[in-house]
Amino acid sequence: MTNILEVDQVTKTYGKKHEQQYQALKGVNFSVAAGEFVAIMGASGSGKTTLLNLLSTLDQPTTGHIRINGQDLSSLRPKQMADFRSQSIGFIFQDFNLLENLTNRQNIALPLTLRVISTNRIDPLIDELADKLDIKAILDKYPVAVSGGQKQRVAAARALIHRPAILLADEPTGALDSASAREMLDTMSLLNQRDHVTTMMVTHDPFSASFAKRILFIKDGNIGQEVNKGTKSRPAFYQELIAYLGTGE
Amino acid sequence: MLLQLALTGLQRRFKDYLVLFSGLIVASMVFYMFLSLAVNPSFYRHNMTIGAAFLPFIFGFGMVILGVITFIYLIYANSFLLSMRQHDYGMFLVLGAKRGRISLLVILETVVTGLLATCSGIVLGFGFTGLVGKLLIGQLDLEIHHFQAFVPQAVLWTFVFFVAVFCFAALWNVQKLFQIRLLELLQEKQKPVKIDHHPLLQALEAVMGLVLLAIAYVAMARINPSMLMICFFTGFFGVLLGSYFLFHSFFSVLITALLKRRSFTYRRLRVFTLGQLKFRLPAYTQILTMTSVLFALALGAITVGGRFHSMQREFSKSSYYAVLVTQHEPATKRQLAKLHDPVMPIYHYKMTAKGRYLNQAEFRRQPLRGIRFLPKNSQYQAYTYPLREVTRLSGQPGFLLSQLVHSTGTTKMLSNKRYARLRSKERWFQLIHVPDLVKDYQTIKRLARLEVQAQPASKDILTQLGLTSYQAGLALTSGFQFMGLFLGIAFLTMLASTLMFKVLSAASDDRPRYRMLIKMGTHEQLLRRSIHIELACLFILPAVLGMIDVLVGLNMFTSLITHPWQGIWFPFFLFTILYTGYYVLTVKLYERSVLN
Ligand SMILES: Nc1ncnc2c1ncn2[C@@H]1O[C@H](COP(=O)(O)OP(=O)(O)OP(=O)(O)O)[C@@H](O)[C@H]1O
Ligand SMILES: [Mg+2]
Repeated sequence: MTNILEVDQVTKTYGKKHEQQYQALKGVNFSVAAGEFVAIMGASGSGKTTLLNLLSTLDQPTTGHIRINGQDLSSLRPKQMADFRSQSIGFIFQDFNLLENLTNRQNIALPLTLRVISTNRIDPLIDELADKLDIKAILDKYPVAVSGGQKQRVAAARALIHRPAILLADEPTGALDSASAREMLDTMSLLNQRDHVTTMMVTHDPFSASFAKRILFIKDGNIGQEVNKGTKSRPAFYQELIAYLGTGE
Repeated sequence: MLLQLALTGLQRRFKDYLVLFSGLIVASMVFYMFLSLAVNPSFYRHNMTIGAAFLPFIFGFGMVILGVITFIYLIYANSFLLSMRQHDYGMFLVLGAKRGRISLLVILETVVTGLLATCSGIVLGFGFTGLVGKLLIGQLDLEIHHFQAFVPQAVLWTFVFFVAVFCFAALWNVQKLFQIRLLELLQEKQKPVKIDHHPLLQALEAVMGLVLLAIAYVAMARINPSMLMICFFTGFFGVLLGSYFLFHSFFSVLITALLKRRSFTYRRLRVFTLGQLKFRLPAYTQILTMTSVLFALALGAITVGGRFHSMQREFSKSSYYAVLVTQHEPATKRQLAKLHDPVMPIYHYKMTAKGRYLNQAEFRRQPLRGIRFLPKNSQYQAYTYPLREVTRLSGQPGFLLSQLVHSTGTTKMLSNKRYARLRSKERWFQLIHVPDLVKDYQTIKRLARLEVQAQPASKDILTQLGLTSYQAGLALTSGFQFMGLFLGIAFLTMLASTLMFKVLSAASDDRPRYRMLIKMGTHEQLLRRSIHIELACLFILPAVLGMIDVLVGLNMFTSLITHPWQGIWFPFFLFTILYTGYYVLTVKLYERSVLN
């Protein structure tokens, strides 16, 4: 299987030279293959968001290399990076980050309008995806008028509409109640299984992580243990995670 | 402790306050300037020409207009400050402060802001008053050697006015604060964007806005003297309400329609820019309306003021004879020789106890001329007085003669023979006409001075002649010109600072949107362009509406000044430049706070 994402000896140090410095990532190595669903777990301050920012080209590693879809990110110039983001990466954030001045449909359309694509192909694409995510009825409403769970599914639609190589999610269920969180996670694993959307999710919540197929634990800027779901059922995997976290700390 | 809180509050919002401050400072500066010019003792101490007597009236008038606008601006600005600090006040309440204490805090903050702005404004006002005073003295040839820029009376009243307005604003704020519940205070910022008014209602409002504007424009364009007040108020309130509805609904309706055209909107950031505007325009209804109306007033003030200046030459044509002499002393003769193509008839007269007698033959030989105004093409025309009219006391020449000799009784025109038979002593006067008074102004002025020195009794009659009306015109036009210019500038700073402030205060809310777009891989260049377009719409729409208001509104001045539209490009150009400056500054500041 080809690797969509390769992270090679990546470190990240915050703070300028001669100032107080803090090394948030201390040489991280891992890779994600096409069609995988990987979760990265860690306590607060362990470097999850830092890692995600590097993967999404919003920030650059201090040393080391990151390759997405075979493209070395460090060789990109700022403008190319923006293009790369808009083409190859989809984001889901904890706080939805929908633009409340646009209808849900317009929100989803944005990644496509940023690219040169024939305008009459956009709506059919949105309708098709909205069907899968069960948000067709609310497409022409504004984000304020829909529930948190629906907002997050709109955000997912926006992240996926342009068929990115990888979906990056930072605590996607952090702001949802448990029922909506569950729905969202089900949707994500369905998208992964049926449509083979390569997904990388960052979370500190074992329940969310149990939906992934593989879990990387990050601690103090290092990737430590790795756990595979294998053929286990999800609830069994969840129990295993809880047990692991209980003994690990 | 409370004072400290208030001060730190001010400190933290310093940049926001500064923008608003600039408006307040300019307002108080111009207010002081007008007031000190209106009551300046320098203008009274000396034996003033009639011209200077207009100045207090003109600047007093400007002051009243400025006062009213400043009042509205301050109330408005203060409710801004309040909304900015609302969250803080909520926190204080949560922390256990009493509402009474907080009210005190609000009053303190408002009044401190006001005092600081007023003080700086007055200090700047000294400088500008000195400058404008000097310019005016130069333009009007007033013989004032020491102009007084510091007028204690004006300082006092400027303070009284601004403190009174600020106290009023503070009480207004406190009253508002008491009405709001604590929870609302805390949540003010998080209020979701209001969306979807009733579409039908919105369409109705949009149509109403257009209709009201149309009515207002018709009222202003077809203004006639018999319905002056009605037309004026219909125009003003029609424009006000019409603009309000236009911003509240019309543009939203337009944008909604535009958003439906997918082939247009699904291109790059267009959908985002339109979405921003769709919400921002109605949310900014009040400020955009105010901007547009103030813009019109400011532009109008400068345009009309400028036209007054161009009327100076007109004033020089309003009397045929510029000056009169009753002696030919060497100094006078020297000056007379300097005039360009003058017409200088000498008339003789004799006086008895019964009245004054003129020699008809003399008037036949060199007819007396006068000026009449032709309303049809609004021009002055010289014409020859019929002999009969010369002696009629109600007519201009008769009146002149009666002034000249300070006697009652009639003036009679006698035949050459009868005139020669009269026993009394013969005297004479010489009237002087020059084709271009502006060109010979200095010489004519010297002649008048020499005449008054030699013959103090001539002073009264001089006030009836061309020199005086030209000087009066000079004072009037210079006065109006300065007033128009400074009123315009004051309006412009108030308006630009309000709009700029409103845009910048929204920047913190907008920031996450731009961050989001950057994360999605939008080029910064595209974001900048979207910002430029969005802010340009916010600036241009009220400006264009204001310009149309002015173009139509100038109709109201046709009876006061001739050709009010002539040379209008100049104030428009000046304004566009100033306004563009504010736009660029706003864009730069906004970009800095949302993109970095
Ligand atoms: N811009 C920055 N400058 C300096 N230090 C930073 C910066 N961003 C993060 N850090 C530090 O790096 C470490 C990792 O931060 P990061 O945000 O990646 O943690 P996280 O795992 O996402 O935590 P959380 O679960 O709370 O979101 C933290 O100790 C944080 O203080
Ligand atoms: Mg984080």
